[in-house]
Amino acid sequence: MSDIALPDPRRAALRRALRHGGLIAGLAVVAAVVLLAVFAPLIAPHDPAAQNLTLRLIPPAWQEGGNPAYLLGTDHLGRDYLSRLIFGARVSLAVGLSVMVLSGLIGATLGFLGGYFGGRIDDLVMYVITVRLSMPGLLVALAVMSLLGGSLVTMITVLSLLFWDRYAVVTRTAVRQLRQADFVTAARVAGASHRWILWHEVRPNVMPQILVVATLEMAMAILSEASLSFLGLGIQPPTPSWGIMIAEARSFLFAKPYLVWMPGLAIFALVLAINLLGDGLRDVSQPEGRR
Amino acid sequence: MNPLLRIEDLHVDIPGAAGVLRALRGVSLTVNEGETFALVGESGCGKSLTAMAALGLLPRAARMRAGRLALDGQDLTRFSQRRWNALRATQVAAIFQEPMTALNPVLTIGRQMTEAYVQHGLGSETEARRRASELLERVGVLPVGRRLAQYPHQMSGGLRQRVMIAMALMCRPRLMIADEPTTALDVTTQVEILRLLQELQRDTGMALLLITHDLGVVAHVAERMAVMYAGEVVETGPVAQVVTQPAHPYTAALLRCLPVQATRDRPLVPIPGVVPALFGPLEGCAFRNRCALAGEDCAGSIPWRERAGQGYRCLRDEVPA
Repeated sequence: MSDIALPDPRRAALRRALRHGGLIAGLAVVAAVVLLAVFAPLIAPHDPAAQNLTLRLIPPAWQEGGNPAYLLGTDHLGRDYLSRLIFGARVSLAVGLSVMVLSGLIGATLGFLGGYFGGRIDDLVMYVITVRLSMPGLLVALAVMSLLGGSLVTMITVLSLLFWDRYAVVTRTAVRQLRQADFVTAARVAGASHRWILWHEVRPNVMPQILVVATLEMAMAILSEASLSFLGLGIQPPTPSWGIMIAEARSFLFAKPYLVWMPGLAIFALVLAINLLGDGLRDVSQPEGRR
Repeated sequence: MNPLLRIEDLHVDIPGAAGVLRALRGVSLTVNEGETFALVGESGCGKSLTAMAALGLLPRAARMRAGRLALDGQDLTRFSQRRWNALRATQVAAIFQEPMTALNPVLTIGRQMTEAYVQHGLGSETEARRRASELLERVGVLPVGRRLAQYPHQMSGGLRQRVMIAMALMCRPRLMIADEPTTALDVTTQVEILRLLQELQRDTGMALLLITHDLGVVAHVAERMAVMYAGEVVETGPVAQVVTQPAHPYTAALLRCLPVQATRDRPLVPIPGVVPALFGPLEGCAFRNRCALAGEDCAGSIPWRERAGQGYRCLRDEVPA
């Protein structure tokens, strides 16, 4: 047998990752936001809820009339804008990550069942997916949130129950192809049960696809949270959320535009970074020549 | 010789949009302990389906009925899913035609070989690892240590088929089913794999059910054989006998289209016509529309006949070789 040194696939993947600019950039931004959110109380210079009406609408430190103690200025109630931005990351990430995991569990489970077992089970799964797709997601979320009232838990639940469809469709298609694979038959011949095959043989094969959907869904959930909070149906003040910050700054759009573009930029940067991370992961997780 | 796998009067129907496909129509065969038995026939004749029935892995839509389907005296027709799993885990194994897709692309060889072994309680992780190493060494996948850590795409087709064989041997099967194990490999590799299978069969004493459309392969390795045509066994017997004195015109015709037999004076003779559609009941001999010896009487029922250890389904006594 040949004795040629073959590259270790894991090391090769790592090398591809380090050379992937988008992946590195996305990872850096996401990691930074995660750190900010986790250590928010330590990093934020002020209490994000503390009002000081004598210090209302201070411009950012680099503008005329700025105050170095309030690096990004203050809002209409005199709250430190930087601190509110930092604490706002917590809400965005909490919603993004929770919805990504919960909707992923729902969607992937449905996709696995339908794709692997086929027949009646698949008909049922397809029916549920069709029902879900026939509902306009954000509208339903709006209606339900206005009925139940906004809170973090309600928002995560509602979004998770609505945004699993892409997981289900992608997983189902991928599993359907794998069901016919010879290695599944080989595992059956080796006496493996369906449950075992799904977990040990099929799941590792579809994880890359699920991971890519997961990043997209996380970005989607963050945007939805911001939209709902902006409309006053999501996170309730005084909890700082980027959506709420934009909503509250609406009336100062022309006088103090930075109050709007700063949280807007935060949402934009985080969503972009997550998408870059997802694309990068997809590129890297596929072996060379299989793009 | 003790019979290990006994199949009698096996029928498999597959309902579809075009009607019910009668894929197997009364297949009977016996594989004895420790022997190599070849199942021969052209594509679509039901050889693989017969094997799948013996493994309990027929397509879900398929409907099966059998006079007998038994492995070592256990009646497989009454097996529950759980008992099938246990049987497949410990007594039967199979390797397939396409080594490129029969291994899971995202798991290392070592993991694929040991996981099921441990899962079925056949031994500890360490024992599984040791057995996997021994078997890889035996089938010539070297150096074992590094191969265990490799992924399938890092190996050639021949190596992967060796890995498949080693994996199939993990549970010490009494019956190994090899479904066209060499078809996807190049000729030199084919010989190596066949020789390996033959050696392993001799060393372990397992029975080997070899499914192939290559009569050359059969003559090399098998002791007994059955020839299938259109969902039926048309002839069975010891290989040496069947190959030299075929009792069924189809077997004779198959032998005439072997490239080895052709010379300038004796060219290849293709079999005229096509296989009949297998929808609905098929009266009489399925081969009669392509057979030079066919007559009016071939449309009636054809009895199973025996002659000097050879069994066949044909009315004619003399079949020109």
